Amino acid sequence: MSRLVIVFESTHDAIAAKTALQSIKPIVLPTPREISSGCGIALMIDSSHLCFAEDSLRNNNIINFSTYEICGEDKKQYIKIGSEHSE
Amino acid sequence: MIIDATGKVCPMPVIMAKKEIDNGASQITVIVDNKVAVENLTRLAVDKGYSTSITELDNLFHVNFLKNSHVEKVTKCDCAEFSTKCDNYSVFIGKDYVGDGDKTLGSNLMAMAIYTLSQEKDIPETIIFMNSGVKLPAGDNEQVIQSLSQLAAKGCQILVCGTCLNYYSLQENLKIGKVSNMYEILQKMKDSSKVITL
Repeated sequence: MSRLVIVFESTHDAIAAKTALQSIKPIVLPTPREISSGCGIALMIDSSHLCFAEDSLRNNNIINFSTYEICGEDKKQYIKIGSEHSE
Repeated sequence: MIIDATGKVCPMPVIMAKKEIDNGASQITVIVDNKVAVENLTRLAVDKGYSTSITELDNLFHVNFLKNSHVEKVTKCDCAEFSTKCDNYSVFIGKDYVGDGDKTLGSNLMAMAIYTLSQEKDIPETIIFMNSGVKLPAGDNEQVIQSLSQLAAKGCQILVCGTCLNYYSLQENLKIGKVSNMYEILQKMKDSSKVITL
């Protein structure tokens, strides 16, 4: 099962996002050290929920976030696959 | 020897039994009126090298201790040359959120902290829950329960204060961990090379 990490620019966005995505039961975790982010709270979801997650976040006015795919087990790598930011 | 601990609140039954054990009693019966006390006494017996049998009579529990023939389990290591083997640590969680201030933030921080512990190779030997902290192993946060289950599967002992569960009426809701008492909790902390409080 592949997983994604969503990182945010603000803690408020991260906590609001957790509520917005509660139906897919995201894991709330510290932002991985390998990822530079404005906020220390990140969400981990199953990759199959990517479209739903992106739509839900936009619908809840959460528009500053980036998505990373997790690769590897012992030595994880995070590959950026998407980014949305307000203009 | 018979010890009547009916009506005594935790950890008094354990303290009363331990006193007689420390005095060298090889056989004692402790009478208590609740199952939390039975569990705590059973754990004391194992720790002190006693076997137990429990009989229920007139809504009271008779916990019968019988000293085993093998040597009492050593729980304290005081050998400096083996200090690396004693490099264990415990985590104490006295509330269901981290820090002071916003409780929503604090609850998320706690879930994150327990998750992070569960992903580490160097896991704590023991995690202790007291006061509102018992709401975590007895609550509905699936991430917390899953993380604690992973920790337990890796060998982490999860102790949950029985008095606190009783206070919050959560005895029947405990999903992970063992019911414990002040005596055992303090002993575990003393036996640890360090205790981290969240």
